[in-house]
Amino acid sequence: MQESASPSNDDELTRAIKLSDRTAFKQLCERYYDPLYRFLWRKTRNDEAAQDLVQELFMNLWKMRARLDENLSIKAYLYRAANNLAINHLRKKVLKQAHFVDNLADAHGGHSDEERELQECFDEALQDLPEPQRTVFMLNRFEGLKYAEIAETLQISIKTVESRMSKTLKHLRQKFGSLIRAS
Amino acid sequence: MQEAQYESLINRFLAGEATERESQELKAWLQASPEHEQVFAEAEALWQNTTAPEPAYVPAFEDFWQKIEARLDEEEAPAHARVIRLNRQTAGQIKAWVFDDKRKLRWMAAAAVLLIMIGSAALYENLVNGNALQTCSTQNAQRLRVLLPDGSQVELNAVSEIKFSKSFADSIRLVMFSGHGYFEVTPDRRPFIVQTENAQVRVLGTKFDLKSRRRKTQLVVEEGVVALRSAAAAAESSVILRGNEMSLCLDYLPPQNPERVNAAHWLGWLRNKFVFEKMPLQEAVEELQRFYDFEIRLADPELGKLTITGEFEQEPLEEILSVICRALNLKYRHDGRMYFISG
Repeated sequence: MQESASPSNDDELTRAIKLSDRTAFKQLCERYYDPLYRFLWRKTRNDEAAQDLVQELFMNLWKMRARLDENLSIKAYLYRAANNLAINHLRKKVLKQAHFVDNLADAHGGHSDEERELQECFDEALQDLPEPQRTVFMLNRFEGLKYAEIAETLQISIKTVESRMSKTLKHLRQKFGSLIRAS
Repeated sequence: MQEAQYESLINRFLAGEATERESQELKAWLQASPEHEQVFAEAEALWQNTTAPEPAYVPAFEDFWQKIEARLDEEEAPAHARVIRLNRQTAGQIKAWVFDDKRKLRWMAAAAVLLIMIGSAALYENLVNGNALQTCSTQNAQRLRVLLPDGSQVELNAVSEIKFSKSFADSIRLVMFSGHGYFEVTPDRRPFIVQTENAQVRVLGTKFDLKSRRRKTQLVVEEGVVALRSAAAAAESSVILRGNEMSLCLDYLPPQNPERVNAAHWLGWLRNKFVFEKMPLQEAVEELQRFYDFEIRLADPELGKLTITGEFEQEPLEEILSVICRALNLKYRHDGRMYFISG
């Protein structure tokens, strides 16, 4: 086997994967499996769906490896692809609002009843939002992506990211201004 | 500061997007009045209280990776590749690499005489012994660059396939190949051997273009020294090629005498250039089909024998066909994803 220093940063991994290097591919999976699984679960709220989609996500990456652009962020590529997979999945399933809310109860275990109620209301409020706004907020607040990364992931301008974030926060503030007691 | 402005500032700060200057601005605004502090506190509380929902559990990475690896292996190695000692005296079945009906490399029973001899039994065992095989292949309109275990690289043109063990053996670097590819072989004391359906290429470290389809293996050397011989068991003659030389093996005949060529011409495909030099129309049409993933049919197979000479660079398929037809006094017709060429 080739004896070279194992690639560590994303760009080096991308370049190696383009050359069909399986070790580099495994390293990339190790790096992004957990956060992408959580992201897919947050979007679908379904264990089975998240497991299937995370498999599909990384297999597709491998199949399309020849087309990878080493100048673009692979993190953004993964989140974009995952987002599309989740949206397609949700479109196929008819999600009744009530059914969705049932699943929310499990999502915030371990907190007090009050906090849980708050979180559930928050989840509902998020679901009220149109998809583009909700996704921007989720990527920033839950997945920890910076605005620039979100812009690249969703292929929109940073200004658009900011404007969607503020619309979301405004919406949440309106719904929860009263519920949240500032200390 | 206007309402919209401070809202935007607070949002950016909470999201971790505020610049140094903006943070200072916010601080100053907060200190200006207790009301401002209240507004900020509420926004901050909202932010803090919105935690991410988490799944009850995340399946272990190892389980996930096992499934991925199984799928990768499925796509690549044949299901039942096992070495049975290659021994001409052994009664019973001998397994070997052969090209099946679809011209794909398969590991199967070689009861027929068509056994690809690559020098000795040891070589077979080197190829498959212990090491899992990796296969890389391309379809129509696909290109793939592959890194081999010794650092050599191969650029695969459309409809091509290369097989190799994940780590090369101690004495030899062996790959099985069909289709069209450009090889950049790293210098190494171990010879590098490419086995095609009807021929064998042997190099130490060099750059060459290899086209092997339908029992016609054509080799053009860009740099270095390469030996080409037929795969036929009795082949003693091999031909040595240097830079800017070309030779080919037809069926199981020995290789033809080297011909001087302009290697750069033959490598046009790497830069999406087609270079046809007295090429039969049939072959040219097949190349175009593979590159553009369109079907091109000749009304009369005899037309396939007409030859064309020309260079095309990244033009739409229609334009290329138009030029070719004009040169040969032919007509073409377009129907969906198909072209018809007639006299």
